[in-house]
Amino acid sequence: MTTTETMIAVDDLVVSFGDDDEVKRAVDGIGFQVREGETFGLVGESGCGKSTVLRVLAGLNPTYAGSLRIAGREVGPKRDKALMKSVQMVFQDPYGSLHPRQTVNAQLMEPLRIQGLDDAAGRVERALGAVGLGPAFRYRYPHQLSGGQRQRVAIARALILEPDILLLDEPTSALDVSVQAEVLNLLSDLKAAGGLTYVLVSHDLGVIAHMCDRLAVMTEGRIVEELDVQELVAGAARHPYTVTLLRASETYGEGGVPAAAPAPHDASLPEPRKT
Amino acid sequence: MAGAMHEPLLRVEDLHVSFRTHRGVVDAVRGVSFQVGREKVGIVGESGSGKSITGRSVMRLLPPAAEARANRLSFRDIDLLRASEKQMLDIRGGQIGLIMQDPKYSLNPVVRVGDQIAEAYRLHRGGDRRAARASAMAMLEAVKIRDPERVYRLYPHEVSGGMGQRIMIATMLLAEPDLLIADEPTSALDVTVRLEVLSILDELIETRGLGLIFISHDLNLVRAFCDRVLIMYAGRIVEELPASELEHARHPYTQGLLAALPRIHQRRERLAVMQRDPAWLDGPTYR
Repeated sequence: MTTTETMIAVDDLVVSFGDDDEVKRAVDGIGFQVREGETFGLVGESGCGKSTVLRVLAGLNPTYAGSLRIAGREVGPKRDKALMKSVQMVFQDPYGSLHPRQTVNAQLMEPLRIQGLDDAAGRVERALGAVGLGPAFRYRYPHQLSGGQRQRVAIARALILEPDILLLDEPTSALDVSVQAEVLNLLSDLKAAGGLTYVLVSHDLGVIAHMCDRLAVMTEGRIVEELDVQELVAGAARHPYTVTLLRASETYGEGGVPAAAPAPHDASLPEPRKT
Repeated sequence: MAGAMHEPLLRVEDLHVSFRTHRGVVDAVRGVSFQVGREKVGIVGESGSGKSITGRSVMRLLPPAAEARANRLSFRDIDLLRASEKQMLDIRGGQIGLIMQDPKYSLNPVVRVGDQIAEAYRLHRGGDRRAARASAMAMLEAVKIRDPERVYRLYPHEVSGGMGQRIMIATMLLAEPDLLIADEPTSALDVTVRLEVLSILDELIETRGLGLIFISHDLNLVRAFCDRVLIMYAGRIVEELPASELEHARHPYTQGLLAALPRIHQRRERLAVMQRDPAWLDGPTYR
């Protein structure tokens, strides 16, 4: 199954939360593969388990069942430093993911210290340069930065270890559209510069269609459809849930005419979540 | 545009809102004028554009550090700047409803949702408990909640975001206001749930003939939902358009917002990045 160019291979992944009497399967037996250099999208609505999958990939969620291979190596819940270095994550909210009382410099230095890398000052400047922030930003605090600048710092912190895989959890959903455009362009440029594989989680099909090569649609802990982005754009999605999601995104968006009466209660479709 | 307006409910002329901060005075809203009749008006802008402050000014719900001035700020024949606090209590909720972004924060967490709706009824319409309960129940049905008896007894943490927002809509419409201000009402909701909530809101506004101010950062959403769109940038309305003509926007800021949006069916290598021109601060507006 696993070829040399498969970067991530997930097989029968199950993540459960809760006590014995009330177990909830947040991720209910999913599998997918991401090729090296690809941008793979995970789409779904809140509670579908997409962020949990990302946390498992990042090593932040050590309790899971199933198999996970990264760059051809079987990965267990306990990871070594080299593996930690090669998989980095950017979180949704740049207001919450940066330490409010540490300078940008201190936050970029920390992963270098943990990994014991040399030329720390040079690496910090190069990482800031790569995300379009000058060296002047080194000694600023997060409250002195705009939302877009903070997210750039968060991306710089992930990139400073020169990872192979960047996990992006809704990286632009807390940002204004004009800032979102800047950050998405930055992510495209970084990838074009070489060597990165992205897994992008988003609820926004516009962002997914713009960024990804392939995507998986999740609902209630399962992947219901996996398709190329061209198929999505061409309207070739087959699963009714994907179609619903696409229709909902198009109705209030894309400059299209709103569909007269959306049919969210179509009996053949999964119910929109009620509780 | 004037044709669709009928009699304006709300008139805003040259509204200024400034905040006193320790670094001096910040002008958040700088000379905003518009009218709203029985129609759906969208106010679009990015964070810090002054769109929410404009909405709050109408309700007179500004923080103490803010000061609002206007040549005119009136609802029907009531001068909102000079109305007494007692009058405002009747206007807020009674004549102008406000729906905010996240029902998790706008509902009281320790009161059953049905009782909160009934409370709104008793506050604005009087009447006994039984009448209030019956109206609350009817309103829950109006917002398409399938099992109102059960939902009435739930606490806010037991309902989903979409249902919470429908409960907010029910609470706000029960007092039968004439104008509704919705500040990012669906931004916290999933896309399919958003669709449901908006179609319910749309139906209620149409059947009751309400005026709506829909405040949002989402240009696409506003374009599809509203009749008319006001685009705010740095405290001013820089452009006003019928929603159907947004594609023909003339202000570079509006054009930039449209170009920056990733679209499913028009894929591009790169998204257009807006070059903000300092001249937009006081430059020409298109209305």
